[in-house]
Amino acid sequence: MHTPNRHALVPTAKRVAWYSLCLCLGVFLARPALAETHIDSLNAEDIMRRVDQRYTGNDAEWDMVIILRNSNGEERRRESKLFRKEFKVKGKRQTRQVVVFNAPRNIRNVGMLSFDYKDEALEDDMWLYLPALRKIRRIPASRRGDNFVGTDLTFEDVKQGFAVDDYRYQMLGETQWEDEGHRFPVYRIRATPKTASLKDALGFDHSELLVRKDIFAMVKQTFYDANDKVLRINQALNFKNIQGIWTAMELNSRDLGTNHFTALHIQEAVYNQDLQDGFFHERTLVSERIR
Amino acid sequence: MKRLHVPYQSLAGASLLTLCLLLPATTWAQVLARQGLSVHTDLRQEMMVLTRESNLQKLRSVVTFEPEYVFSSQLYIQGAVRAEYDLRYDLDDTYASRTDGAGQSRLQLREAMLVWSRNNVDWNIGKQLITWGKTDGVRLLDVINPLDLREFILEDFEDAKIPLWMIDRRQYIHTWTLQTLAVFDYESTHFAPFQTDYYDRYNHPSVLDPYPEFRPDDFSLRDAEVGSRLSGAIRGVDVSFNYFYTYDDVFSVELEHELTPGGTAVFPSKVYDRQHLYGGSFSGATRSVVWRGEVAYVQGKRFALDPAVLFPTLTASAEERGLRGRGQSLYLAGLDYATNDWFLSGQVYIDHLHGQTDLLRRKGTESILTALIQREAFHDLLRVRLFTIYAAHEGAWLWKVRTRYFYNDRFTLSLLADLFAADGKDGFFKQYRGKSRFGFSIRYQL
Repeated sequence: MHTPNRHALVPTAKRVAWYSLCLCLGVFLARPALAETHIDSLNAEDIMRRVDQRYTGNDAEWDMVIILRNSNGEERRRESKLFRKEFKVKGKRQTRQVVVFNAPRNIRNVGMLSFDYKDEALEDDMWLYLPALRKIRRIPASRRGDNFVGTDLTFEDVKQGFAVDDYRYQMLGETQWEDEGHRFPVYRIRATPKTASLKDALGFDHSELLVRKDIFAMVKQTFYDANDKVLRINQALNFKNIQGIWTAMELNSRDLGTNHFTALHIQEAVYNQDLQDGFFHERTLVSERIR
Repeated sequence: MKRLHVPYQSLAGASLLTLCLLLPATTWAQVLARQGLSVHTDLRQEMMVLTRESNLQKLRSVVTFEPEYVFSSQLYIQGAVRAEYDLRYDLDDTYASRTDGAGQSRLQLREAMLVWSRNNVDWNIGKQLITWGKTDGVRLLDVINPLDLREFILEDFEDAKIPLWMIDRRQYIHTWTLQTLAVFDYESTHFAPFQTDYYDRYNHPSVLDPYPEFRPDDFSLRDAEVGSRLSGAIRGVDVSFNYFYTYDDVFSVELEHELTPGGTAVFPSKVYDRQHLYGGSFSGATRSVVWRGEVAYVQGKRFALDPAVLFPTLTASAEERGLRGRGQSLYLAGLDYATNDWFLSGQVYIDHLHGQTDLLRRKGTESILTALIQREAFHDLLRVRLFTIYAAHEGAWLWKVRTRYFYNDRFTLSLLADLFAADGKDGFFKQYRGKSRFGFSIRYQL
């Protein structure tokens, strides 16, 4: 009678333990490589989705100073406060925002309330409060490429997140980005609005983005026209980790056509204060209680 | 043609006065700020010239102080005091004599208000301005405060509205607002004094008292005006429902007659009528367009008789003469369109009087079209605005041109022009056909 080789057919406990140890050791040693392989396999669109989905808090309060500098070097200064909160209404995401100007005198207490719907099929809603007239006025939802309150930044620039689905992307490679004396590796990505009407609404033909690899934050965006001429350059600088949220303490924009420059400095940022839903209402504008 | 008289000495004097007010204002404002009190100062110098007569229409200095004391974000006090002085009266003896100095100077408490917020209720108590409605340049629902029409409708509403003492309570219920008002004050419309440039000869022929009073002698708390507004949104459309029980801002003239041995004596007396105003407004947005509208129904308003029938119908009652017992319906539709630097707006306003209107001064249906074109340039440093009013029932035009240059954060320079055009002079708008004017304004804000 033929007796099978017990060693070949029945693994011993020792063998199982040995195989397990090798497997674990191999996985452990390979972990960094696996991780790098995962990030490197991200395409440009994946990266931009991570930019859009970057956690920026459920609500935010910013004290801002906006500096506008013309081609002669003359500066104007505006002080304002921004309040933002993420909402979900009937299952759909929206961002509500209140911006109130404290200075200078000629725009003091002018306020803006906006409802920014993530669903692009819905029109954003905006209201403007004019303190001299004691009047709240509904204003047309600005084109995304329109200037934000006279600055070089557009409404698209100051919007929360990034409209990923509106663009086609191309990975251009990687480079280094310097900010506050530190160097950071960044992705170089080309983003092109998908349709001609989008290009018209946004005001540019294509743009080149630099995205920090470590925090998936956009640090530079260069806007081009159809002839590859640079129209405008936006930068996000001096990132600070505030309550676990990476915040660019300076956003600036230079219009190369007019040589006009805007810098938006965030003096103070506070997140997740659990701002009341009712705060994002005309009452906040009319009562002029925000100082 | 009269030579244009340029008052250089007056300009120098006005500038010096402005400087004298400015320097101490800066200093003591800083001192007071340390006590928790802030005071904002607004200085304005205006000069306007009548185009036809090439004569100075006004050389007015306006100073406004706006103190504010903030106890907390829920409780603060704010006020505004305005002083005006028109140097034209000192330069033009003929005008000063003709008008008896009426309208040369004014000291006005524009605001004295306590603002208190508690939970879902805001209280604004004191002298203040309230704005209702969604209109530009015309008023349907926005009748809480009367108007200063010393310069017809040429002044911006922010300056022309007259503040009143009132209590304004606003309760916030979810996304809706219920506002209730009680106005313990009355002032009639401030018409231009007799013989001044913008005196309303059409509605107030000189046979009547040329100096309209602003406040009835026997006003009491029982005469308080009350109103309410419910506002919110329905399917993304902002709506409001308004009611106001109010006195007319314009007195009516009731001719009382008395039989005397010598015949019938006629006594004009001013009558202030109560009215009910029911109305509502709406506004919504589609792409780059905002559409808006207002509707109002006024009950109990009195209207002026045509002077041609004034005396022949003397013995008839007010109702028989068609003065009272009629309703007035008001409608407005407007569209606003904005691009990056342009803002375009148009409105159609219809004022319809129910019942027979043959005996009245005005037409049964009057309509006004307005158009606003505004352009901003150089990152909002320059703003050019053209507001056009066409009174279709009269065939009269008014163009208000405003060019504002924000020289810096404190100085604003403005060029202004108010231009009238019409065939004939018989009409509320038409009577000012020769009163077009242009000029400038310098504003300094602290």
